[in-house]
Amino acid sequence: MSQRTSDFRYRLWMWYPPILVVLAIAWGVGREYWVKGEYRSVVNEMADSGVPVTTTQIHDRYTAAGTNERSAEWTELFDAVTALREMSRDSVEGLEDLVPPDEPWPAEPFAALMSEEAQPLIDKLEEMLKSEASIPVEVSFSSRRLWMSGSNSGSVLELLKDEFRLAYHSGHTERAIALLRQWRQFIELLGQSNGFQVWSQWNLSTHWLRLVRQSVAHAFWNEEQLTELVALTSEIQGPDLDQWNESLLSSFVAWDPLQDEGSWVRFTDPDLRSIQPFGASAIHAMAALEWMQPRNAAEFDRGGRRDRKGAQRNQETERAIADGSRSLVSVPFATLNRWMRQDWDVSIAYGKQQNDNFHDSRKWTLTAVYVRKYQVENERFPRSLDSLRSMGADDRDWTLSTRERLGYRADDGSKKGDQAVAVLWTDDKMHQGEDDEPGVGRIPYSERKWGSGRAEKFEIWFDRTM
Amino acid sequence: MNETRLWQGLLWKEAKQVIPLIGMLLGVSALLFIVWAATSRQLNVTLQATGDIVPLIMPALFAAGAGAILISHEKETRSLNWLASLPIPIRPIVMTKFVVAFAGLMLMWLGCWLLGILAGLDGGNGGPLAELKQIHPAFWFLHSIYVLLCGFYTAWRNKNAFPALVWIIPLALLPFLVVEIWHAMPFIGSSQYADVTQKTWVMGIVTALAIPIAGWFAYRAGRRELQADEPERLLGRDGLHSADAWRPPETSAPSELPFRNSLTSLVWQTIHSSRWMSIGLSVPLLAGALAWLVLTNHLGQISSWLMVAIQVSIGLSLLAVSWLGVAVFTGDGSSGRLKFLADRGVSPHRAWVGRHWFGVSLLCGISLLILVVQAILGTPLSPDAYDRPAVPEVSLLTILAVFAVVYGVSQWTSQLVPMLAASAFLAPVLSLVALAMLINAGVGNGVRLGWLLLIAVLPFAATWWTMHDFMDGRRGWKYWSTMVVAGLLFSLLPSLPVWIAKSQFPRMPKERVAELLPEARRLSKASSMNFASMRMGDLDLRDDFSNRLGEVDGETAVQRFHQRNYASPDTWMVIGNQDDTPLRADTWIIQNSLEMASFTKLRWKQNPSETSKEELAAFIDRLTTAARRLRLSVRWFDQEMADYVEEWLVNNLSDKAMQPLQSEPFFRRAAEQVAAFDDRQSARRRALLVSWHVDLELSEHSQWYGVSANDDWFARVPLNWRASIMQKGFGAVVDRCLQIQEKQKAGGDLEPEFRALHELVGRPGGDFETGPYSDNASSGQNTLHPRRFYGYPAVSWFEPWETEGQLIWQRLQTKAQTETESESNVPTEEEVQ
Repeated sequence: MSQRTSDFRYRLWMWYPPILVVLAIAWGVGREYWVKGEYRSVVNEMADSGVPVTTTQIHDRYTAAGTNERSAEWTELFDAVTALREMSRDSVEGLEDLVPPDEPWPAEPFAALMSEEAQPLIDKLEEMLKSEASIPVEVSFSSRRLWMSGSNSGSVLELLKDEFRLAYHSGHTERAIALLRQWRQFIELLGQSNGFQVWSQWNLSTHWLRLVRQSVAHAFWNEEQLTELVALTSEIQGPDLDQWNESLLSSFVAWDPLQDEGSWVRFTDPDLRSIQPFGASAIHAMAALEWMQPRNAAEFDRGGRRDRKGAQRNQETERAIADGSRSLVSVPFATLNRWMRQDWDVSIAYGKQQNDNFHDSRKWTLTAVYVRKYQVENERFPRSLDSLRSMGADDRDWTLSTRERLGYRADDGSKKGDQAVAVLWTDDKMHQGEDDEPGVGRIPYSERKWGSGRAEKFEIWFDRTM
Repeated sequence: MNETRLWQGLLWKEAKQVIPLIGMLLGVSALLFIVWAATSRQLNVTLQATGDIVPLIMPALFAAGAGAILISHEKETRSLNWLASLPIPIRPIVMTKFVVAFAGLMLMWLGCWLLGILAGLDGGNGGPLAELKQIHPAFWFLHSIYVLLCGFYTAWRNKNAFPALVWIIPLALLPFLVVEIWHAMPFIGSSQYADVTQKTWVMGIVTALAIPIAGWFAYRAGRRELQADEPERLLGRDGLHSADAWRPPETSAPSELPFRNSLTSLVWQTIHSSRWMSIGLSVPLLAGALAWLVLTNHLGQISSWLMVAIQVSIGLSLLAVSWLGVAVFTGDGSSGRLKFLADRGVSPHRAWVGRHWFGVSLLCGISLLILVVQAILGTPLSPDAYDRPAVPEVSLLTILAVFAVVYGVSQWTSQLVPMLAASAFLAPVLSLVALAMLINAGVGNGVRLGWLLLIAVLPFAATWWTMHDFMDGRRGWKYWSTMVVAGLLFSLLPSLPVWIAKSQFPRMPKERVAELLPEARRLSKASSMNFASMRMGDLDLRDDFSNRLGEVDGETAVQRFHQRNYASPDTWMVIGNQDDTPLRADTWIIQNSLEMASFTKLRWKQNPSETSKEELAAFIDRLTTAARRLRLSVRWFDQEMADYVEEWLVNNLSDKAMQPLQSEPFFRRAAEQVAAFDDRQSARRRALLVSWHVDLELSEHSQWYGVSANDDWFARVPLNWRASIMQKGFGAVVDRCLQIQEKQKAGGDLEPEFRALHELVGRPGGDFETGPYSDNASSGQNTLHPRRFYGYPAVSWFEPWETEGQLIWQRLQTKAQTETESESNVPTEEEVQ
């Protein structure tokens, strides 16, 4: 090797890395500036197209919907219901169980007392529902982030649940169905009153479905009521994903991830500081926006969660957005950081999953109601779910979003010693419980045990006596 | 020569040589303690988290540095050659060095123990180094002896100090490695489940066995080094290998510039002067980069041994970055070489650039490597949303900035302390302290990144500036004053923006203080600081033991329900009956009582019986009393809560359904309370002024934080210095609130004032229109403000309920008047009878 080539090689290795680094940093800084402008223009476009982008606009959008003087009565009622709930302070054995009329219920005396105390409130609730006065919503902002208080509807939910349990145990079918109707009315009114009550509605609806599902496990309803339950169940609406997404997007923009004030020291909202201690990256803000409103949203709707190709595609999109958000100069994190993602649930998959879960839950409930209805009409359980077609049900009612069909088996009690029971189960994880467990279907049918806590979340046993 | 005299002389010489190291270590420990004490308010907490390690630094660094000081330094100054040429036996030379080093080590352990006692370290578990802390100190003692011997061995074997130091690291890690391998053996069982005590025992045994071996090797190496050189072997023609002809001469320094370009030559020199050193520094850097990539890309659980390997690699690579910096000005006789260049007229700045080039290019190359590999791999994503790599990917600038700080501070240290054995240990510690300081300034104090990057350039500027003097080897007052100024700037500049921002933070203007202080003082004196607290009744039924078992049955629950007497205000809000004692608010109790009052009201409306009316009356009466007594309080927050209660009263008294109760005494009492507009204003003013005065009168220390402002005010100010402006900020808030009151009296538009207040307390709730003060302004919509805003001052001031309260009272008065008038015309009941 001649000295000259060696000299050249040395110079090459000496110069290349620093020059490349300088170029990379310059490119990174330039890109940040450019994307910042782009972000601002996207936000302006959103504002022009009517999406609320400041806390004031969000407030107006979600609270202005027809508040009238009767709305204050709602507040009073909610306060009173909250006070009533404070009175149920002891943990009473079996208070949360739905017990059929002919079985003992240790909590009954207390439930009856609470119901008696609640009577004026129930009457008031009925009156308010009839008047259709819109329900005021507590919208507030904690350092620019939208904060919806669900405390009001939360206590009403508990009240309705308690009332329903008592009516069920006392065998008051009329009262029970009336309560279910009021409950549904309340959910609808909540939706009409305010632009944004998705999560309150979702919570109320999920509990409604669960209670209905539990109620058909025993002979309780008559044919006419079951027909009404079928109607009520099939009409129930899931969370409006578009609306939810829009509110999330608005809230994100109003949060202003790029805010940066103070000439000597940075003054920003504390939650923003905690995820971006050295200031925001416009590239990340832009990526988050993109993430929240994927351009190919339609593609996400096709196929279920189990669809491997779909899942892969989702992952590819996520990866593309994350890779696209790689900033060379954002300190410390290079890509859209995980706290930002977690904080904003910046993932379409989450909303989609919630929606799927809700609809699966509705289908499960509906099929259960159909099974009971069939049994009431024909005095025996259907041999298979296909028999339910005679009642107007179809395949879609027992096929979940994962394309899994609900499992079903019935014993008609013809064998000696057998009782007529039926079981409806799901194999998939459906968020029926608090935690994300795999469905019991993964366990062979013969190995499942009756009454195991986990199984109960995924199985409905009809007319089973312990 | 007398044997004893010889030993004495040698011991004296070695002891004198080792003193700088001891002094330096004491200095480092003192510095670390000062830094810890200065940066952390909760000294105890910080010490518990990392403090156990601090005293250990002394023996650890001594063990590693003793060889370099006692042997390598002597080799560099060539005194060892001179010593070897004297007619003294070799054994005493080797042994005295070891004896002195061992004595020094014991001294260090003594110091470590004393420091531990002084600082009150209890060896508590937890913190980031929990696993290391569990290892018994006796093992560290053994290990330090082992490291000392290894240091001796490498120092004897290597020509220069630097590679000797680098080589200590793998040798020191050997016991840990043996244990990991031992536990990885299939017949031992998985290391994951081996407990620390067991591991410590194995490591202790391994180390104890290794000590005599290392000692023997060190002794042998010493003897060999000091022996007379073997005469050069003359090889025959056949013995010569063809490659031998190409082998460079033994002399390490090139006698001429190999390249035409002097910069290139300098780089060549850096790399080739000690090839082992270049390799020894590049390899850990590469390993660190790989480990970092694994850390940012590995999905799922990382096995414990891999985690240890990753941590060790990253730690070593940071050490390598620091040592790259150290190598710029010290090590392998570079100062001598620089002098050589200076004598030949090479410009100092050219030499500076040349000395830095290798390190800078290497670090840039490593950062680029990480970036490129990460870009090729892409962002790791797994189908499970919660499965993420342990550490998120960081940006190119972040890596470069960390490198720049560590490298920059290290090269600075090496120019300041040209003795390698000292700077090699001082530099990593100092650079990490500097890095922590800069990160703290950014994260905790909100100092801007640009400013911090400028500060990171300072060490480079300092060595550039003084390069001329350094090359000439004259380090006079000019050199030292430049260094002191640069050092001061480096440690003070990160705080400068914070001082400026603090001094600019709003406060009550001086003339306003002069105006308000006498009044505040007078009010404070006049008002009693006694108060009564609110409490709930016996809702938990403390005397009833029936629910101790957990769940109760329905019958018992009913019984317990009746025991509580929910319909009485005494269950929800107990305030005693001392009517003149101010009351302190409890938000939770007030909230519950208002809800309960709403419940009784609804019950009365649905079923207007005498009992339900009595219950409602009792609640409203209790709330009226509570509001009146809250007004007596000199805490501003109690005034806010009184507003809250009174607003509820106004809303309910003006409810149409309640009008039939107008003539009831409770109604009149409540109406009178809510109508007292002027009293309310003076109570508010008094509470604000007294709260402000209380803050002013606090002792020097607590004055800093104040007691009156709420923690969530000024939330946009970085957390680390927010506490220090609370009291000042509260002054500004009081001033603003009083101005609002004064303006209201004068009849001005209040909106600008409320806007300013909203801005001042840190824009709670986003825009003004969605914040707590939107409904105070005349233009504001009359919406219910969410309850979460209580805790900010003046949230309910001058809202419509205040005038509505006066109207209710006026209506009652007019009604009473008309009634008395009609009563005088109409015969009374008795007359009719």
